[in-house]
Amino acid sequence: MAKAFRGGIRFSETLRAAKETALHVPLCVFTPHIIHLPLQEGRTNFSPTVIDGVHVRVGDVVATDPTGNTPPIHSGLSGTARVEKNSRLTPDGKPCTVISVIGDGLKTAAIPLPPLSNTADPSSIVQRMYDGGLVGLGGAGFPTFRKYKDKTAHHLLINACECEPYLACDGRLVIEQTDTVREGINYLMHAGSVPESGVRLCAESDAVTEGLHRIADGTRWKVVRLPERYPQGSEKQLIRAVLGLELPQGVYPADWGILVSNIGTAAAMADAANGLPLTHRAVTVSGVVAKPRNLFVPIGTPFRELAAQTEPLITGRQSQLIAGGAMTGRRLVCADAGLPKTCGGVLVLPIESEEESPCIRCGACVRVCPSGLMPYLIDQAWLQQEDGLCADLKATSCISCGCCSRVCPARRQLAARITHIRRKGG
Amino acid sequence: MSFSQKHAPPYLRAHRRTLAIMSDVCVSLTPSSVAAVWFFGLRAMWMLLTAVGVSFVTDRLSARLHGTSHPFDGSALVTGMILALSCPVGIPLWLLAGMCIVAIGVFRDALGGIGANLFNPAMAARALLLTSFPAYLSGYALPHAVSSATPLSGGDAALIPLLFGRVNGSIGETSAVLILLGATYLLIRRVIRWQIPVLSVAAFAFVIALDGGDVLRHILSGSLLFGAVYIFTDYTGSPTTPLGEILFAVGVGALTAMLRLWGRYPEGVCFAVLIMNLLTPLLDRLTRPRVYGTKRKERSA
Ligand code: SF4
Ligand code: SF4
Repeated sequence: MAKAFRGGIRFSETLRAAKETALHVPLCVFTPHIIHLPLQEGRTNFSPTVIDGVHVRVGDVVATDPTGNTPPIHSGLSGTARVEKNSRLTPDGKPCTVISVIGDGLKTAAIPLPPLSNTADPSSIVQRMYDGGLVGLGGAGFPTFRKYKDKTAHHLLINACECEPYLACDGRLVIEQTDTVREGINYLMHAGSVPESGVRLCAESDAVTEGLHRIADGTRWKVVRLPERYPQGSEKQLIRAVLGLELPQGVYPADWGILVSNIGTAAAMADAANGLPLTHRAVTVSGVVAKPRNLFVPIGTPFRELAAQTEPLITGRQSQLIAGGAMTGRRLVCADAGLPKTCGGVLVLPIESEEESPCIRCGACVRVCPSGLMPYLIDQAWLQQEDGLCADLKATSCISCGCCSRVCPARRQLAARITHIRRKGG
Repeated sequence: MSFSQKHAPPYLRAHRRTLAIMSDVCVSLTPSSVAAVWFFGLRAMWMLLTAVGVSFVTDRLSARLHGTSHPFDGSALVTGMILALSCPVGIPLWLLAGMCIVAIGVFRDALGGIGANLFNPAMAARALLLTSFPAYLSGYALPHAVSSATPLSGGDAALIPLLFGRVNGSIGETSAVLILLGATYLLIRRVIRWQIPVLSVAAFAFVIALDGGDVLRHILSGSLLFGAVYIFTDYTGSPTTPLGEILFAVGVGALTAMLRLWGRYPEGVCFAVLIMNLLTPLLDRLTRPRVYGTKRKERSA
């Protein structure tokens, strides 16, 4: 039976209504004229495999990671490739090499990889995860092949809990692509040698749960309906709620025999098995807009073009464009940058005052923290530069969910600081 | 790598900031304030105006002195109102003004500022002046004081608010019903949580009952209810953890009863709060929540 995780937030009626609205908007294919694929993601530096000016097709590899730790990047458009060094067409505006593909409007497809057979052994599925460019599509973007490589797990959690406000594209995948998702889950299950009865499909809304039931039809997979509560979709909180387990800090769930994959990753797995690498993804365009949209777009589609698919209700100086969710996304520095593989949302949100006032010790941050931390104390310790105290307060256990900052009446930048401490210390 | 807190997520922030919370407390104190003026006349109004005015000015001067650029957060108004309402009507205005200056200037700002000061500023200032000028605070006879033998039992609804405390009661503690009204408002607005008021009154009642006292009369008289709703719940002086909050509530309730029964001063709230304020950092430390993934005997639901 599902158990609740601690802390967290139940969003207001308005925010839940916005999500519900988006959940009823069908996915719609959108093809931009150009895509931008930055060759630096976190600590990974990709090397281009194409030269400036060559013609590429949909599904062609355009860059690989020489270390082999991250799967290759494929083009989602057919057209002319441009390799630009020190381009600032990145979401955070930091310069790196960017491959842009200027579409020729033909959508010529590359020769697909040979389809996997239904009885493929785990290692060839894992190889396909690499060749297909699969990374976790839920946000963290951990390379899927590394998660599943040489694993014998007892549980596979398929995460369709889209707990971020506004976002609904994963829900649409569940509702619309039943067969694809089922096929993908099958491959994931085999790749991780998970017994059929160890598969859990998790959602937190009625419509999505219903879709999951259709997916699980005729299998021994279990559908788990969880309460609508942020951050239900976070890996640790999901494991806590579904399996009643808390993993020690620093342990990967996969090492404990638990695999967690996002529903989008499952869908992409099915495509990859059929020979089509990860070139497109679903994305919700929402926020303070007249009509939210769910789009299926090439990876690298400029954010500005995505945002233009809706009608913002706020503009200019009061509005900002967010890549990802409202709680964990990033404000875009360059709106012309391309959509990363891991990004499931583009939001138009009002700019709020960031002026901090002194903490009044109301305790709200303590009550909402799903990691059981004392955010205000860490904030204080950090401001006094007491690194030892930060460690004592277990700042490294933060999952950067943003709950603490969300509720703070003093608008302390708790999550941002604690995340910074965690990154520095871990 | 430098840390930039600019434009960091989350992009949804709480719209109710400190000023709004403090305004809610002021709103919830309004019925009791109006009642105070009703029962004690214009003098009560002068007390309230003096306290609020002096607190506000002290707050602004002190902000300038400390060079902080923070906008006015409303907490000084709450402190002023609470101070006025917890004094007897006969108190000289200069003494009340002095308490406000000491509360805001010294006990709040000089000792760390809001959220960081150890003691509840209003109660600390009150205690300091109570011990310095005992005659004014505890010995002053009230013009309209009614004796305490007015139990809930008799009378219709309109009479219930007329429940008076002791002869030397404070102007804000006259009506239990109005205090409960304020409490309801604060609970609905989620400014306070039920734990501290309910558990502190329960612990108080328990100790009184052990001593064989008249529980209901003790609860309704004096400043217990006022304290339970407005003073024990002060964010700064109470623990931030859910368990700490419970321990604090039980401790402060029991202490109030003990001080009232056996203490040197007739009222216990003030010193009980100050003692528990001292323990708050310790309680916070001892009751830290279990960090996810760490052992403390996994509690399964
Ligand atoms: S961001 Fe970190 S500290 Fe803040 S609530 Fe989430 S886990 Fe807790
Ligand atoms: S929520 Fe903000 S004001 Fe309240 S205790 Fe936490 S940091 Fe302080």
